[in-house]
Amino acid sequence: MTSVQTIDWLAIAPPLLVAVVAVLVLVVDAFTVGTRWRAAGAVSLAGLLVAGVLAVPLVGERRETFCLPAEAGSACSFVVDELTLAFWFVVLLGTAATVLLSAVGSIDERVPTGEHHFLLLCSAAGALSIAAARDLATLVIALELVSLPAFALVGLKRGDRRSAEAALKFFLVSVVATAVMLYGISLVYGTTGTMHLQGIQEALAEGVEASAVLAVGVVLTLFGLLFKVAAVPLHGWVPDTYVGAPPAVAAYLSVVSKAAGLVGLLVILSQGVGEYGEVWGPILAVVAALTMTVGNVLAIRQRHAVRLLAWSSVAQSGFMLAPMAIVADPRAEVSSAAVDAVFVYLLIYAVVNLGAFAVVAAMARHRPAGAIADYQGLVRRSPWAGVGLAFALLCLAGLPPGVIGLFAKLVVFQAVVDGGLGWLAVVMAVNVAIGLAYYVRWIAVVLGPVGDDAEAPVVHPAVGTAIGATLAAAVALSAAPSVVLGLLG
Amino acid sequence: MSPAWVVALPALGAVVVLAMGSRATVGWVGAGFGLLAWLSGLVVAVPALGDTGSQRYLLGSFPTGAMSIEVALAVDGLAAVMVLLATTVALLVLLYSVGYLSGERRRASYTALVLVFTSAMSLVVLADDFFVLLVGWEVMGACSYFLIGHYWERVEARAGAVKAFLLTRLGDIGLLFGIFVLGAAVGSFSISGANEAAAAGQLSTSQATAAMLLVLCGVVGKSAQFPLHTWLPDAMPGPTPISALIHAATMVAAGVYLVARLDDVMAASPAARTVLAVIAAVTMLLAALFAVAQDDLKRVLAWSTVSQLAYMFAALAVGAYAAGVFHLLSHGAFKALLFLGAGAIVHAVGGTSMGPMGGLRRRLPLTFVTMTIGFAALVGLVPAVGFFSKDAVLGGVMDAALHDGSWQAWMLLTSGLLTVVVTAAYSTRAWLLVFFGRSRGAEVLETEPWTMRAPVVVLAGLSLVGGALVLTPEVVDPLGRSEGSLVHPTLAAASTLLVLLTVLVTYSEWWRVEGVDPAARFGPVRRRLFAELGVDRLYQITVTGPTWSLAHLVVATDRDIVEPYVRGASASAQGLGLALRQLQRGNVQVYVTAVVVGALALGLTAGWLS
Amino acid sequence: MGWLLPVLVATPAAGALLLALWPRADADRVGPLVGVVVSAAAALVSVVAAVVAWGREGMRLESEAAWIPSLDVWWRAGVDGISLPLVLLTTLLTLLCMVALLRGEGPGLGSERSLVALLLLLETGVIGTFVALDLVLFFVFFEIVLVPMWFVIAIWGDPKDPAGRRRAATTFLLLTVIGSALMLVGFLLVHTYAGSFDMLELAANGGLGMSTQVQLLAAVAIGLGFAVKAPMWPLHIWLPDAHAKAPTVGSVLLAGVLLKMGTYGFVRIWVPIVPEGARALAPYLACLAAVGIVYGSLACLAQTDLKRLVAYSSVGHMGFVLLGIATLTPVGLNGALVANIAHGLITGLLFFLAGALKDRHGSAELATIGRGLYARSPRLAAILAVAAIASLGLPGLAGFWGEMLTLLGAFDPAAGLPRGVFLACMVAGGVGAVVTAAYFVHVVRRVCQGEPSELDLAEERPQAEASTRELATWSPLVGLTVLLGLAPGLLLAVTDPAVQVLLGAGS
Repeated sequence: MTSVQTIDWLAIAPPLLVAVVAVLVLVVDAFTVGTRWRAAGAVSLAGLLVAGVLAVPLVGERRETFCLPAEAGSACSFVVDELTLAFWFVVLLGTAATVLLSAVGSIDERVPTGEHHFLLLCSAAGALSIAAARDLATLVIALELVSLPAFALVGLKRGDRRSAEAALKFFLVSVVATAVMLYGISLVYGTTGTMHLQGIQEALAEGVEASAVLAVGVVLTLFGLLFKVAAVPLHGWVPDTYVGAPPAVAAYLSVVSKAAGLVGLLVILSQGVGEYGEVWGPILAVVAALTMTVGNVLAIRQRHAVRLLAWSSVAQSGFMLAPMAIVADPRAEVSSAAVDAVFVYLLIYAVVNLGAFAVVAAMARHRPAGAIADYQGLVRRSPWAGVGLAFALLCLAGLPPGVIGLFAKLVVFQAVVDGGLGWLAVVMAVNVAIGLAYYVRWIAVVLGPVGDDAEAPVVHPAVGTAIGATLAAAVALSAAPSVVLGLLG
Repeated sequence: MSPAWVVALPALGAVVVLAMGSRATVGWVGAGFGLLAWLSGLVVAVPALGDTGSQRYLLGSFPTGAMSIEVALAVDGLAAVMVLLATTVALLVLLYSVGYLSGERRRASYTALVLVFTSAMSLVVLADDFFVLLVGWEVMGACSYFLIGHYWERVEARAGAVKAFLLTRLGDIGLLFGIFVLGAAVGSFSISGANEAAAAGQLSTSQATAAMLLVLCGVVGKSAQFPLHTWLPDAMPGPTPISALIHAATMVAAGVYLVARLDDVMAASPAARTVLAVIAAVTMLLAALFAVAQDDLKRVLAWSTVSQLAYMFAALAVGAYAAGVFHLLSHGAFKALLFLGAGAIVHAVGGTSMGPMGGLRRRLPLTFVTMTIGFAALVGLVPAVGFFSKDAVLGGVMDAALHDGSWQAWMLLTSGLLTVVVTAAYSTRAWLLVFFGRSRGAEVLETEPWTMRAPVVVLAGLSLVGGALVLTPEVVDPLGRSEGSLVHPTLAAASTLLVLLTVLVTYSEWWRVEGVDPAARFGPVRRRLFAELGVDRLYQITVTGPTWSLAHLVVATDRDIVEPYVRGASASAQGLGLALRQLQRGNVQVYVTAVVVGALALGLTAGWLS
Repeated sequence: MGWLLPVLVATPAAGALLLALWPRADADRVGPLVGVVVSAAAALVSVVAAVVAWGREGMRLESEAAWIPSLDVWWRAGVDGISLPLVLLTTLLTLLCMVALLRGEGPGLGSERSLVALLLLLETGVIGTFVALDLVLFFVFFEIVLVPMWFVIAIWGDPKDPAGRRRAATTFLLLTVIGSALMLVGFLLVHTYAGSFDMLELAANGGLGMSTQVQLLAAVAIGLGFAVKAPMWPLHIWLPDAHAKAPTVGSVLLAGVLLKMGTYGFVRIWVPIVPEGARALAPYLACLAAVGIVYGSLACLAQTDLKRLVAYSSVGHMGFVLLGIATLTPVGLNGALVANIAHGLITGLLFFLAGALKDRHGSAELATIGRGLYARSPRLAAILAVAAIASLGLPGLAGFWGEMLTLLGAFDPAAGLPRGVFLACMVAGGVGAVVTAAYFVHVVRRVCQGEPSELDLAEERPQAEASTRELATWSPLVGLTVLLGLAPGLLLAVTDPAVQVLLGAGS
């Protein structure tokens, strides 16, 4: 009774292309000599650009493929809809920025350029597929496709014990998380008899016996994704990994792989297990609250730039998780607002966080130690880097003139308040203040008088481009927030 | 001519004077503006003397959200006499100061402040809106504060200024709340409105009582009545002309004026009148006794001022309106005279302590004559004005006592007659100590210039002929508020007898042992009186001290309790961070364990929630 | 004329941008000059706005444009009798601060250029807050001032105590941000139930669509935000340090206008938009305000540092303002608004004077300043005495009317409020007024009067009399204090109609 499935090649083109380009990069890299980053980087960027172009015709329509036959419920495993495209945009953007930042890692020959870009693009391909995956199996596979190259990326630095160790930690935690997730999936499958979210949704709607088992399954299923988002209690690996990895990879982990986790959560929660909102809703709310609080309080005393950014990214995850708790709210406008809030926050976070990491990457060449003290008076030593970092941090803190950051927070607050989670809103309010404490301290260092180190860091043009682009984007968005906030509703 | 000029001209003068800086001519310019103010006062007041009506001038009004505040002035009989008193004394004092302050550096600020004060006093007596009155009232207080502190190098001047300001301000808060009560009850802040409402019986007794008791707080503070009486003597380190103007003739009398002005409201509240009566009875005797024991001439005069003001309140407390106002005017004249005389003595011998004085009769004949007239008025001897006014007061009190036999009236009569005796005693004593006997060391360095003589002479003249007012009672009481005549021959004879006896006794005391202070006769009691019964220490212990310790407590609270909340909050955040950091030793087992435990916890929670 | 307010808001920001882009070489030299020019321009525009809008009924110079439609956020601006005086106060004080900066390199000042730019940014934020008629817009402007003020205190603050000034700045920032974040939650709550950010519409509806429960929650959240800013006891704790450590211009603007943003918010948002919540909370606000009055004035008695003293006096004065607001009566609100302006003028002046003394003696400690200022620098001392007398609320000077009206409001609070409580608060206010008088005459006695010791007269002690520039900076404040003291009608005639509208709509 199996029927030949027609594959919608256009729908799967972008991830496919990125994967192909990944291989291509390896080849190109093998044949280039001299400044190898340029070739690999150029090819990667071109590939990402083309992937983006290929996604354009998909805008405004819903494409499905890899579907079950109609009699089996015609549930599809691979769906490209608004949500998918939105996250593809973030992923491509983030990966492109990472490629630019990779220039730094590649200049000192310790990071093999070809492999680096190969792995990067593979992982990106995985991230793209997650956004489209609509059954748990595809999701897990895509997730692993994101993770496995990432481990390698972290550990790729030649002869650096720290980076190897970081990779190991990253790997171990991930393995456990995945194991838990698989267990959860098995429970879900056992009780509902399907892997397709659509099917699960229908099953839940009809109602199943052993609902407790199913509930446990649902929650454990989220684990692998919460790991990617670095939510408490799966946050431990973050700082060590970020510090061990090259800045470019840290940036990638903090943006693209986090985006992958978020979109996975959104898809499962909103399109799969919405019925059980009253089960995982409170849990996610608590997780969100814990995540932002833990991340913030741990960031307060950090003296190391990347560590601080690592913890801040954990805290920011908390803000992105907060609306998750209500994505399955019975009131349609509330739930859709929550989904939008997550995405908008992620988009803005991606831009400014990449900006911050870009400056960090630039400084990493100049002062490998990466202490915050090294940024003393940066704005006077290299104005653009200084301004870029300061503005990015302001946006992360959510204070004017970083207006866009403020609105990101505002959108999340609005969703949470509309969802009726007043207590969470209060926790967020307190966390805004805590976060401010360390962001503003760093800003003060950057804008303060020049210290004993008066020399300007050498900024690689590629990195400079990244800094300039993110800064421009952040400023533009702050000036006209409606550009991105218009995506809402 | 609008009464606004009486207020505006001196104020303008102050600006001009300040602009001039400390030029030598500044005093003359000040006196010039004083003259202008006096003339405008004449023009405004004279037509209104004995006027039964009242003319209201509305200069504007502004909203408050409820009742609007009207910038309104009114001229009636009472306002007229008060304007005359204020502007006249002010003019004389300004003239006097030209000589008194010659060769001083701070002429400009001094003259400016006197002019501002004059303007404020005129505002008080002309105001027909409580808040307009309050403005003048408080500005007077501020001027008084600055002028008491004129010699700010001297610690007693600084202390006296602060004390005067704070005690009066304490009372003024009551006055403010009293205004609220009246305004709310009457529905406007117009003074005449309040009187009319009370006269028409629109005020309930409780409202009138509440309002007047609160108003009396301000009055007691301003007029240095018991229990806020202690500031006036301490205000004496100020320049003597200031004592004459502010702390004898006008500002302290403003309290009496206010009570007289609110006579209708007062009449509506027996309770308030009783309180006033008690205050007056206590204050007049107490202050007089204090005056006996002082050996500083100005301090004696200050206490006598307190005591004399109490006489006026006594009259008002029993409804002897005319007598009260009459005594206010006459006291304004003879007490200003006494102070300016004292000023002449200070100018001559450079000090106010009566210890080294004595025998000044020959060296300062004019001062001797004029001050003798002043003392005669103070003790109430014919023909000085004081004789008539005090007789009017006591007569009024006696009428009240005899007619309705109220205990308040009897109390006041007793206290009043006793005070007559004591007054005679301290006046005679001071008079003897200063002018008679042999000099006890005080050298007359210089005699006063004519600018200082003329005012004294004028005031002496007024104190002599002022008694004629009894022939035209309508001037002090145009509306005939108080029935009964101002003259009480029998009582007058009796009190005159008392006075003469006392003078005789005091003189004999003094004469028995040449040159010895008669007050010494009181022995230990004198020390008590000299210490003014330690009221100041009482306040120090019960109010000032506690306030300061409370202040330190508050600061400690901020430092040790509230701030730690903030510090604690940040500390706890960082502490939490520290604790969590223990789990972030880079130890991967810990991370994995966290994941597993978390998985269990979440799983169980989910199962439990579903 | 709708364009006028956008221009007014944009002018200082443009100036700040100009300075930021100025070629480095001579930036620090021209910085203050540019600042004077720009702030003068802003002041001019505000005066024009005043001329247009003064004494007219209702909102004036309204402008409206969709900003972020998806969030239902609009640019809505306008001025009425409530906001106009505050706008004028802001532009005036900023201008005076710029003039004060003209002296060039003062003690502890780093890059003049950045300082001026930050102050201009601050001005934009404050003006924006006063003219905004959309809750989110209001919030954005409300937040704009934080970062600049943080820098002003943390970098240009007390040169003797880097750690302390940093701590003071951060305490200020964090407390305020917690407050304003909660305030945002309150705004969003309002939007969730009342379905709009439009302040005028919301005020007109008077809490329509919000249950008492919701209004209460919103009022608490919003109130906390404003209470931290105002500041209300016991949330005042950031204030003394911030003022003591801030540079003169910082203290002046902090006390002169930033505090007013809190009280203005109470009047403009708290009272009319969540009326039932406000009504329920008013008695508590009144009590805390009364405590603040007494507490602040008592704290002043025991201060030995002039700047800290003035700071604590602000706690007391703002207590009067809050008390007036809590009465929910036209009288009380008028009083609050007048007291706002008076406090801005008088305390601004006091901080200028304290700063001048600190510059001369290197510290604002009364002991360091010494005695007999009357003899050493008569003009400065005289102005200080006048400012003190004004600040203690002497009738005939600006300080009196506002505080008197707030007490009058407390004497007869709005219907439904517990009168006994408010009478108690009124009496407490009276006591506070007396204590206030006590510490100010104490200061005058301690600093202005007294025999200057040899040390005070010694050569190394600066005896500098107020310079022409300083007098030029101070005299406008003195003049306005006297003017408003003698003719409070000028102000009340403007505020009263607006307040009547506000409360008329609210109830």
